Amino acid sequence: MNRVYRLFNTLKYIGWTRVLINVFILLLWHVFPLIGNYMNKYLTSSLISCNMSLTGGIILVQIIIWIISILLNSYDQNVRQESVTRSDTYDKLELCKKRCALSAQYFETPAGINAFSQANRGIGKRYSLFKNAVVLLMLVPTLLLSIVPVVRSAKWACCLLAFILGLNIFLSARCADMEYLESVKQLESERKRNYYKSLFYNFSWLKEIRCYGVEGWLLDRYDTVSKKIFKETHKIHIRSSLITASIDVVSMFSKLLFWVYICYQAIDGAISISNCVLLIGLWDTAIGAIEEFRDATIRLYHDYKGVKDMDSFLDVEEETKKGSVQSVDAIAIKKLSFSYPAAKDKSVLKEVSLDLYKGNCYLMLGANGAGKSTLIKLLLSQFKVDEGAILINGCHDINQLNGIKVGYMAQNDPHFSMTVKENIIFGAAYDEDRLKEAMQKAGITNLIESLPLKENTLLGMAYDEGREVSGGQWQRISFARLIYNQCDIVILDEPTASMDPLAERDLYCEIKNMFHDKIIILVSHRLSSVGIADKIIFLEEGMVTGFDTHEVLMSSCASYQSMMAIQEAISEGGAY
Amino acid sequence: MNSNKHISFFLKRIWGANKAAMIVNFAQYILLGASSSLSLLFTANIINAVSLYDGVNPNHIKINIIVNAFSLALIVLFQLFFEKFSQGLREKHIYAVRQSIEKEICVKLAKIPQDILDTKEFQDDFRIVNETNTNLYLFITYIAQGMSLIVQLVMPLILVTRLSWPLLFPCLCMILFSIYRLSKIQLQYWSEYLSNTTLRRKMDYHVGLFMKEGLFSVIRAFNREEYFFDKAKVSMDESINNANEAIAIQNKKYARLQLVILLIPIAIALVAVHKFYELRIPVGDVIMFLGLGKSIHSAVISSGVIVQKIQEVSISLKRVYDFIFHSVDVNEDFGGYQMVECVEKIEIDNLTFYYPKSEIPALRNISLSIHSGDLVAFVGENGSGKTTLVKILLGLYQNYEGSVRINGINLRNISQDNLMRIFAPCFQDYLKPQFLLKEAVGLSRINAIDDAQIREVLQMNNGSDIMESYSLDTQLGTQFTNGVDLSIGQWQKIAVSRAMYADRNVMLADEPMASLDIDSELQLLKAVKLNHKKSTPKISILISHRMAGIKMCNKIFVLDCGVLVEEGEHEHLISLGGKYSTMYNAQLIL
Repeated sequence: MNRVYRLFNTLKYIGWTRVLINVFILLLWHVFPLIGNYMNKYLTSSLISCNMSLTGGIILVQIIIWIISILLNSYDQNVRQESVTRSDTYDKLELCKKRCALSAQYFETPAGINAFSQANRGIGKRYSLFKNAVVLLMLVPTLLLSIVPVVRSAKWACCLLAFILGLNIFLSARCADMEYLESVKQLESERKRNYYKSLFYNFSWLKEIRCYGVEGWLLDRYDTVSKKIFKETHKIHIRSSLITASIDVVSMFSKLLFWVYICYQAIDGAISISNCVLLIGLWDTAIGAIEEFRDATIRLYHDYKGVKDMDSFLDVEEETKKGSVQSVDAIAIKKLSFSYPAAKDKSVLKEVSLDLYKGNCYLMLGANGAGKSTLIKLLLSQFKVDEGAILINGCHDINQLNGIKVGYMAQNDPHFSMTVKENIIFGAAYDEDRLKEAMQKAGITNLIESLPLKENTLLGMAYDEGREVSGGQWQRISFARLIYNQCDIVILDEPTASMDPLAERDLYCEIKNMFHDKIIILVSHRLSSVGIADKIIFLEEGMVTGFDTHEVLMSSCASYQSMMAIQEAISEGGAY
Repeated sequence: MNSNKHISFFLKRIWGANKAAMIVNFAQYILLGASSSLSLLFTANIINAVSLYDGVNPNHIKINIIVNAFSLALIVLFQLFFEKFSQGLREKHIYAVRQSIEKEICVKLAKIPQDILDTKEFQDDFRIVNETNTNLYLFITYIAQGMSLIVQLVMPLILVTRLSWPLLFPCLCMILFSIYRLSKIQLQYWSEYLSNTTLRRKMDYHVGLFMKEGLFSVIRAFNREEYFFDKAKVSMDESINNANEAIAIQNKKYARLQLVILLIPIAIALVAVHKFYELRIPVGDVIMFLGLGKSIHSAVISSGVIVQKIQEVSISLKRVYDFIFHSVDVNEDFGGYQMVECVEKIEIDNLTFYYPKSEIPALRNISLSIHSGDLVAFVGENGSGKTTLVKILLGLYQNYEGSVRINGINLRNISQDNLMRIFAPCFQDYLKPQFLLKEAVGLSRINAIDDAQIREVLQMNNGSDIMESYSLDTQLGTQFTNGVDLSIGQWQKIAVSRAMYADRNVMLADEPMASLDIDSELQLLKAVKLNHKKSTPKISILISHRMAGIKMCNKIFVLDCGVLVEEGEHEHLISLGGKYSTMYNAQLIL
């Protein structure tokens, strides 16, 4: 039922007039050859009977048909391309919409990623399926209208045609299946080949390739993989082309047989010359219709597969989220345990319990792999907890809530190719004063002044007019985004990883100022950030070994002390 | 015109790749062109035989029919066989040609100076080159199709001339005129597509925001999915509407011209019917001429399209040709290369560097010297030029003023290969290669990897957790099957190990500690120091924002906005109370 509804929506988006024109043109295309055959018959009979007016009339009709087909063709070109583009667009939008609706954790599993990329390959296939189905429907009357006269004159031709039809469908389906299986087998190799090529085409990777001198080695690998892919697919292509060739040979000899038979009949006077002409033409039309039927079936097969992939993705159950909160005052993490879906045996977080309150800045410290990023992802509801719960304001489960706004500054913060203003506002309501304040607090007013269109300058490499700014400036823009969108929870994941010490110091001061009444969660390796934290969350191998102020931890937690000692050692320069 | 050099270049290349395939391909198309007219001819003969039958001697006619039918079958069979045969050869041919050109492009890319590669201009140009690369073989196909169409026009014209002399001249004029006019009309959506890149890119970008998890996670965090979805919708509509306007206009012109060309088949049909009544030409011939007229019509249309397609492909081929032959080349061999085996001294005098199209210098009058045995650090704010300096030393940027000398030899007199043998870099945006673990570390000597040495280097870099979890033959990265996903810290360790394994004279590390925890930072500093002492003479250059660790360096250079403001050892710089001192104190735990 869903599928029909989706098809209906697709057609509506494309536009009913366009769809109708497409269908009408498809109908006419398949009827014209038939009409042409009958024209030839009547022309022959009119010429033989020297009926000049009839001849003239037929020539006139023929000319009109030619004109109509030219006009239709041009109209079709207009409409067809637009319909295809629109159907592609609609499918892409559906995919995007579904992506928004599904939880992030669906996309973290390999199954989810696969389903999504398969669905992407089904773009545009739904409308194509519809068109091919229409073509198949149109072909049925054409086949009948062309075959019936043929069969009436030569009963045995029926079996021959049926045989050809069966051969066509059966062998072509085999070909299509063969090719599809092969393409699936080659997916991995194709990816490898594209990866090797991308090492050259991604210029920031290319410099390392150059510095280590592995261009030749890479090209060899690229060559080997390409050759392998080519050999395998070539074999399949040869096989399938031999199969289609054999079908063509069979159909050609049957045509020979039929023509000779019909001509003999005409000579023996059993059928008139004009009927002979008609039948000769009809055989070609019938075979053409059979081949078209075969091709449409193959296309239908591929389209159906694509639509199935897409539907299986679109049919994934969404979680119904209910409820929202006005403001977040507290986050309670109760006995949280978690392991990634891809590695269920490795427990990343073990019975974490924390109470976070607004107005506090929490610093998460811990070695690489201690579970900091994982905890952040859970707070962003990117994953569902295995055991335990994250409760907002004491009673709402975070996974059941609809849209907690989190001010998030990611570790490798992505650069959005939009204007500075859009980057900062990020879809919220526009308030000029707030924007100015955000820019000033983030320290980018000078940068903005230096840009040609000030805050309406397009940034990023996606467009011609986009400007690039330095990494540090991008981070400040992200920070301005946080300031503008005053979210109750602020999560900063290593915001100063590539910042110099002075910028870092400024950022920390600003964090304290701007978000003093929010819940701030900061992840950093720079131990100087201890200065702005109210409480430290010290993670070791997925467990919270310390949750208190810096002073208390220094006196009570041994591993915390040794970590600080390492920092001292580095500063002294004596440990190495 | 020298603008045709590219055509001859590609033709030679295609011909050289597989001569047999090209000949067979062309023969197949010519046969295809001839077969349609020939089948009309034989069909007409059959119909004529039937219609002219006067009742006497049926066997004679029957044999006539069989002979004609058989000839028809033979032609079709022959053409079929040729088609399948040439298809197989053609695939091989396409593959060979495309591989060779792609490889050439890759080789070329690796020679272009990095600062040019990083410019938007180059990237835009290159994107177009990349997209049109696949049209290389299309060029040959279009030429072959053109030849086929010529045959498709000539054969019917011969037959029409036999019908009536005076028809030839007007038909010929009409044909030539129509082909000329058609080739001027921009029919292809493809060329529209090329010129429509901005809107299309905007659309691709907005849709891409949903496809990439990194970007989408930020959107999701801020709860702005709907806002971005609407933006995507709007940009899609814009792109569709823009593209379709232009196409509609072109199609109208196209239809008008097609109607004009219709005069040819109409004229032929009328003359044929007239001749039927005057000279009693057989009925079959009348039918044949109707068919020939239509086939001339479609051949003329296709010819116009082919001419225009050839023009378009030629333009894009020129781009590829220009890219391969005219882009700036690093290894402009002027034969004055000198060898540097072992770096004793690096001297920089008045180095000034501007990024392409930038008015602000990235480096301004830098003068410094580094000697063998130095452990050097470059510090400074973001954008002060540290990474730029390193890239110039590596020979990635060529367009600088001032002099850089290694052992007294000008950097420009040292070949790229040589530079590769003395410097081992670990970049800030290091590569996370989806290769085997030992290949990822042993990239510098990838054809002769020493397992024991790899383990040693990884151990030195506190990579025992990596070695415990994975064997040296583990596939890294999630792109391929059985690939393992490493944490950022682990990737970093592999990157640094890569530079150390290379065991070259100068090791350069650009922000190696950026995402490491405190323990790993200590280990890394230990490793750098150990590595520095290991093979003499060695120079190690470190760029870092973590001020605490660079105390161990004996030469610290402080850059500010491209200018070298302070240099010396740690204590000296602290005592100066300047930039260095401020930055150092900012990071102390208060």
